[in-house]
Amino acid sequence: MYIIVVGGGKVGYYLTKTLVHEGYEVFLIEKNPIKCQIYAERFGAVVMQGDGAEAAILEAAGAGRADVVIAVTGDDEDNLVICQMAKERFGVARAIARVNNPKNEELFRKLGIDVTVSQTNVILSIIEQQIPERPFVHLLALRHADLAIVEAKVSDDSPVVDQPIERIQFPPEVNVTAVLRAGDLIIPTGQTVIRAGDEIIAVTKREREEELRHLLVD
Amino acid sequence: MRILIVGCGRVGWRLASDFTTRGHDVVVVDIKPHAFRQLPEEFPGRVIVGTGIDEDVLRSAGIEHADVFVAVTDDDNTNIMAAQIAQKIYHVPRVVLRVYDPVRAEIFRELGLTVVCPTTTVASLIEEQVLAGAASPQG
Amino acid sequence: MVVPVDGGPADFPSIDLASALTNRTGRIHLILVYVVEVPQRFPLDADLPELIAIGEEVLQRAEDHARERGGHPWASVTTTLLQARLAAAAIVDEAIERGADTIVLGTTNQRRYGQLTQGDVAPYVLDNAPCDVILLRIAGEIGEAR
Repeated sequence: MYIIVVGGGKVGYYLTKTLVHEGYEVFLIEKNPIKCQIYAERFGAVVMQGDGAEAAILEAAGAGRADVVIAVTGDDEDNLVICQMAKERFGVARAIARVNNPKNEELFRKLGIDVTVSQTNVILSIIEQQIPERPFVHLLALRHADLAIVEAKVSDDSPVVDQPIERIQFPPEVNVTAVLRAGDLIIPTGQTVIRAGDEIIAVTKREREEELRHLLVD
Repeated sequence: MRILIVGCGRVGWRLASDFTTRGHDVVVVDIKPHAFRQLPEEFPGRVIVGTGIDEDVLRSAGIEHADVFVAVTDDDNTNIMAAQIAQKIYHVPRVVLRVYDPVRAEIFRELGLTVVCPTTTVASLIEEQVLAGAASPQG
Repeated sequence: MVVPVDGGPADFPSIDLASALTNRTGRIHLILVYVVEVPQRFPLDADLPELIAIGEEVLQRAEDHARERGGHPWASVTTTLLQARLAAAAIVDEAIERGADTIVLGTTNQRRYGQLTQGDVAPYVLDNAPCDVILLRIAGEIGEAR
């Protein structure tokens, strides 16, 4: 597998280093000539100086045979254009963009970028998972079909308490995949009875998150 | 018409002035507040400081009701991203952008954007002048 | 002793210099090295018959020149054609692998964007080769290099 990384900031540097270490064929494109020189001394011949949004640079970097292009510069507009160039001009199968402004994640998806990585959102979800009082946590957004994995702690006065799952009126497009009770993981069936304080992990359409939260938590 | 212009450089302010003179409703967005100093003092349009690739900024500039969207910052990628937001997300009926890099201009034209590429336009104008000079008796 | 060749005007003088070192080191195991630099747009192991044909021709001429030298300076003459991203790194690696005690590197003045340069190979080899390096810069200039 051949991977081109565009942007040699901290993210690009460590990404390249890790991918090289994992045995992938990797090539890094970075604008700043001084950085390039330093990286070339560390990585050898896998670094090129240039603007990754320029077709000529992508061509020279071998974008035509790349399996993945990852754009991780500090500017969202550059990451977007780099990924679009890679896909449209060079037919790269997978384009991954770093999203600096989390608001742009949705936009990039709509514009055809395969995968977006928002550090802000990743850190946010880590913080949310660390705070035990939060009764409803968005664990992971799944790109396809707008799905999300959420975790909810069932409140004492929720209507689902002491009900078997088959009798609970969950919102449509919600699937309860696991129940955590006093540290034990239960894979639920229709007969599983929900107790107050259970932590429910569910896969849900994103637009159903709010309804689900309302049912379990409020 | 309601016209939203992103980028208040020479081209941006020229367009803003012309469109307001013709009686259009113009909003100009630029990241640098001092960019607006170029506009005429009695400029009747609105100006907004912010980046043209931020949906919040664009919404406050009225992108949802704009008839025309023009992206003319000095950064190709900013123009490309702003224009795609306008066209693909907000479905502004007429979207025009400037892209200096001829290759990028061609690629995004193929993706359905209306791209003006000053590099090729100016180069061919100059070439025309040079050749006209060479053909004339004084040349 | 490793002598890199590239088909340029420094090839034969480098071989001649190597042969002149016989007195210093005894009869020499001469290893002629040609490196096909693979552009990034191809995989490293790409099949590049045209570039390889050029390399083989350069090596053949170098070998013929070496064998024509009088005085029997060589204990052996071998040729190696390598495929790599960077010629300089490949030359150093080859010298290490063959246990060479000397690299005789020919170089020519070239211009890059109008500036005089020795190219990338000589500085890298000088910095990184663990063995002796003899640098022969021949007189004159060759044309523009990228």
